[in-house]
Amino acid sequence: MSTLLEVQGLHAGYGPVEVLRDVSLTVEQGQVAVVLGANGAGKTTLLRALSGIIKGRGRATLDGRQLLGLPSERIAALGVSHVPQGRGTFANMTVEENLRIGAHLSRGDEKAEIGKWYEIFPRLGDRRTQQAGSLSGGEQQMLAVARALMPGPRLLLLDEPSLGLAPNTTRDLFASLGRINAETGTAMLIVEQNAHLALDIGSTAMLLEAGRMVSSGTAQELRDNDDIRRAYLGY
Amino acid sequence: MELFLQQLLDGLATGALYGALALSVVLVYRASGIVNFAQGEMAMFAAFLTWQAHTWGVPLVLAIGLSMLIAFAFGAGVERVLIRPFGTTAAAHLSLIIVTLGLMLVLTSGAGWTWGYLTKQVPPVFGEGVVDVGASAMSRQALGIILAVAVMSVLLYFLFQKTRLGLDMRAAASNPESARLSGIPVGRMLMLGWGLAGAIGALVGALAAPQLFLQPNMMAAMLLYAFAAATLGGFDSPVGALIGGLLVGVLENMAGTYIDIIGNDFKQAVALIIIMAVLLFKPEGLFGSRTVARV
Repeated sequence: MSTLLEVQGLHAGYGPVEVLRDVSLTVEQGQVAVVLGANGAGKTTLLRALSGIIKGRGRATLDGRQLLGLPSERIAALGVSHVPQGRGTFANMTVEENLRIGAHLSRGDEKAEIGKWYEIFPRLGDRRTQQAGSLSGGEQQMLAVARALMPGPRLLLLDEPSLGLAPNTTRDLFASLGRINAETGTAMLIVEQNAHLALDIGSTAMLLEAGRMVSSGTAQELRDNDDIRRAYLGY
Repeated sequence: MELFLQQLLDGLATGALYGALALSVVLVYRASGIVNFAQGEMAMFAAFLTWQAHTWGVPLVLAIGLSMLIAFAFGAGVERVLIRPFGTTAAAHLSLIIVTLGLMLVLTSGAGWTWGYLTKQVPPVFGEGVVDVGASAMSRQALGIILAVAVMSVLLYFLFQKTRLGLDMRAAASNPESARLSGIPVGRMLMLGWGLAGAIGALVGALAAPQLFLQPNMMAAMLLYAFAAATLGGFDSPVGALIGGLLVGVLENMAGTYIDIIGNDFKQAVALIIIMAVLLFKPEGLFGSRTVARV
């Protein structure tokens, strides 16, 4: 298996405040990697640095190509799709328009592609002419995921997809993510506080604490780690 | 009744211009989140360019087209050079408003320095004479203004609702960060928005110049009406801007005719009253989005 994303010695933050210190991680082709961490550990900062929303120092390469320093739209064009925290939907535009925006970078047949996502998430199809802002939290998250996957990215960055969702909805969402990963082979980097579900579909996992990567391994290894079990899995 | 109809028609013609200028204010507001106080002066400057080209012998319609092109490039350039460096966060808004006020002064004095402050006669684009409309009459120019603004509105509607580029522009205005993450070059979309606003302004300037007489302060009052129109329609709604413009034009005309103390000289008060009333009682305007967001 070859490495898709390789991050080495990444530092990032906001103005003079450094949030991430010397973070390194890898995501293999087609794999789901999970980053666990408490609030304020730097999970969101990590994704924002990788997609070019904020500046980062160090190395983050996609297939050997340095991402740091590129503007967001170039990083997106290289095949990195980011579902930001809060979902980042276009609230005053319709579901269908949101998906069409997602297709900005895709070369395929837009209509067919959108139809495919309506099959995967039928509730989006039912609401295609509704404004995205009027959808429920779960539907918005589905829309955000579908929009991000429209161009057929190589790497999907997901920022706390479970945030604000009911437990059932969260479970369905992660089940969908697992299926999408299995079927399309899209690699994913998911940051989560909800460790259970994320570790279920993840093959590797890392723990971020106060901006540093404190442990990493296979999802099973982290599940078996006593500290992580107590802090993030609650048993 | 005849007087009423006549005032209504006249109001619609001026209102179409208010609406079109309001539309350019709204396009900039949607793109950058600020009100461009120089929008009227950009239109005035473009009107001078039209006049200049025309006096050099360029046919009037072609001269307007040329000045719209130049105004497009100028608007896009303003975004890139004067606006972008401040960033798009709310914290930059005050600085940006000061910048647009500065640009307004520069353009006014620039036009004065180049062409002088004496008013210039500009021929009406659609010729002299009147057209009968039912029992009333309308000048060819007034009717032409309404048609020109209608055509422009349809073209813009087509651009924003039916084309990929329009979708991308709306996305960039709606949520710049997500637009970038979807691969949309947001900076270019903002420049386009400012450019379109400039071109629309140039059209307004050329259409208004025959009535207002061309001089550097020509658009100052009209910008106030455009603000009233945009406020009434909802500051983030292009359709609202146009309809708001028509309403303001008609209201202003009616108030001038039927309310004695307002008369012809105090009509601007109507704009202020509209702005105040809308902001107090319906701040999002008639068509603006009171964004419904569920989380």
